[in-house]
Amino acid sequence: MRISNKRDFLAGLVLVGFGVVTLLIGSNYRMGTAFRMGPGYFPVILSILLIVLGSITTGTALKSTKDLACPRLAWRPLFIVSAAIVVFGLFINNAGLAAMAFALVLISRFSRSGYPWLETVVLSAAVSAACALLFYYILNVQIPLLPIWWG
Amino acid sequence: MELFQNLALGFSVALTLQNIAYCFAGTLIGTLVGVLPGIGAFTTIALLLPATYGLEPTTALIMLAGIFYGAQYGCSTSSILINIPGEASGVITVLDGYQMARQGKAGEALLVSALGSFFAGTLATMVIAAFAPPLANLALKFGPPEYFSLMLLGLVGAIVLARGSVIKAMSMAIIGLLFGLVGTDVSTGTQRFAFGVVLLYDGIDFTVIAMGVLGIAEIIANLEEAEEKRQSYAVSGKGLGIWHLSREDFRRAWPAVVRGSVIGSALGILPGGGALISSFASYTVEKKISKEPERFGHGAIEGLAGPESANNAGAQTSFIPMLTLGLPSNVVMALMIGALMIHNIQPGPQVMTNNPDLFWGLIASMWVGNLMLVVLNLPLIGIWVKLLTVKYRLLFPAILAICCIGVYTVSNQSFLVSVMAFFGALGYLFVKLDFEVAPLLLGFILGPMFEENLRRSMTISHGSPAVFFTRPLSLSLLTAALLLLVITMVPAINKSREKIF
Repeated sequence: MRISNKRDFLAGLVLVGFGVVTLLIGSNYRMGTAFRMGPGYFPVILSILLIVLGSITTGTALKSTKDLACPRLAWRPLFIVSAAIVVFGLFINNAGLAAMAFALVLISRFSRSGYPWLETVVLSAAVSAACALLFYYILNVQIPLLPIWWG
Repeated sequence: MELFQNLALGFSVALTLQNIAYCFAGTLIGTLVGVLPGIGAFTTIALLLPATYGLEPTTALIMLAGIFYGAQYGCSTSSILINIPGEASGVITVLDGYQMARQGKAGEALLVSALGSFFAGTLATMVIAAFAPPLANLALKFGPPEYFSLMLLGLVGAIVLARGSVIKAMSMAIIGLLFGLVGTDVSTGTQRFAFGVVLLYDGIDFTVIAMGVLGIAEIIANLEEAEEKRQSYAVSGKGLGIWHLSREDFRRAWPAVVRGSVIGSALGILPGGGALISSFASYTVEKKISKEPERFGHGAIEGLAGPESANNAGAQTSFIPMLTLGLPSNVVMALMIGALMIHNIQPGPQVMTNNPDLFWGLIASMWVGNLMLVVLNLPLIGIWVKLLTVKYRLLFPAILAICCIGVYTVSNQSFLVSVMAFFGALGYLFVKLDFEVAPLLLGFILGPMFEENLRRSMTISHGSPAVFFTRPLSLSLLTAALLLLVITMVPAINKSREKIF
């Protein structure tokens, strides 16, 4: 059998998967009774609802005649942008805002090919300087500015 | 008249030199971020929240509110001039506003949107002043079952008004509720969905989720699109010099402005409602009642004037559930509640009686702020236009930096920056699978309160769910929720709903 609405078919499966995972985790918590609900009561109800709704979505997609392809993810920007953020999060406490804002811009610019190198470096420096000025000096945000070994 | 006494008190607070200055700063910053695509009112308020710790609570709220409605205003500029909405609620403005700009009527479009917004702001201010006190009185009678039913109504509202499939929107709300449960369960102290990570014991700060699924996901999705496809009609300055409306345009625009303001004021009050929904609704109404619906999408001035007024009115009246019930109807209102809590003010019906100067001062400041927006921004259009010509490839790294710094400052936890990356990826996946994230965010915000009130109600009733149906207030709220759902399920309406969105 050929599924024409692949997008919603997949969407339903994602929902069911999500519901199954939360159901498995949630069922470890004490259920309690309706009168005195334990920590597990609400999550388990929600998980079951989610599995039901996901199944409906998948089921409807199977019957649907709409032709919707499986969405293609843009892996490069997805990976690069996430990596840039995670690197910022990992090193901000030690390396400080100036260096990490620079690194964040530098890494994120790899999310597409063909950006000029000089532009990337100048932009990184400019964003880093602007962030330091605006957030550290003007708004007095609680964030380290320079690397801890700086002195 | 008590109303006038209250408003007089409000204006005496709002018109102090300090409050005028902060109101001005707020609306100006708001317009700026509203113009810039990618940085919204939410990100900005989250970033500036810590900076307001030292201010008087009234002054802080006035400034933050200014950012919120200023952004609604600013986003119309970018929608009209470059076909890119600066905020989500601008997606309707682009339909006819951008077409007007292409026909060389950018000046008229900006003028109509400014005057319409001001009229809407004035009406919304009066609506808040008139309806907030009785609503707060009603809210004093609310027990856990009523709060539960009200939140359910809010969630249903967000589901019904979301674009696309109702089932999918419902699923998003449930996923939001589930994310809201992460952390320590208040009643029993159990750690739920925390995976042993100590930093998750307090739950996930909603700035992390909101910036992830809204901000970061949007950046990833934008980077996927073809490079620089937006085209600025403003750069050529074509049609920008004309600052007057023809008699014909005025005749067409003013009834739309009035209708839009009324629709926006009404929809903004609903929990789950707000600016975006209001502009959608207004556009539909205008197109339905128009004698020449074929003009819509080709620069119909009514299609711009109505939604522009509606989103401004909706943004303002969405303060009502926050101020009177303590219920946030969108992410920005959730931040406002945070701002109140910092100053030891518990949001809810008692704010009006315990802090009348804050309550009425804030309301009066909204009108003052709207006036400032008109007077200020029309001359500043030139500057906004310059900003809009900045290329996205230069802008997105800066937006990324602002989001990272924002999450770090709100939580002071570097770990949560990485959590934001996770929600960014998740949000991107949801976008690709055609899920709307608004119900997820509302579910997340309401999650803990929702469960808490469910538990309390069931304890009151000794485990019988009948409690929700035997109390008249709760029953009427549930009936309203059910009606909303049923109406959406009716095939005819469902079809037109798909056509509009």
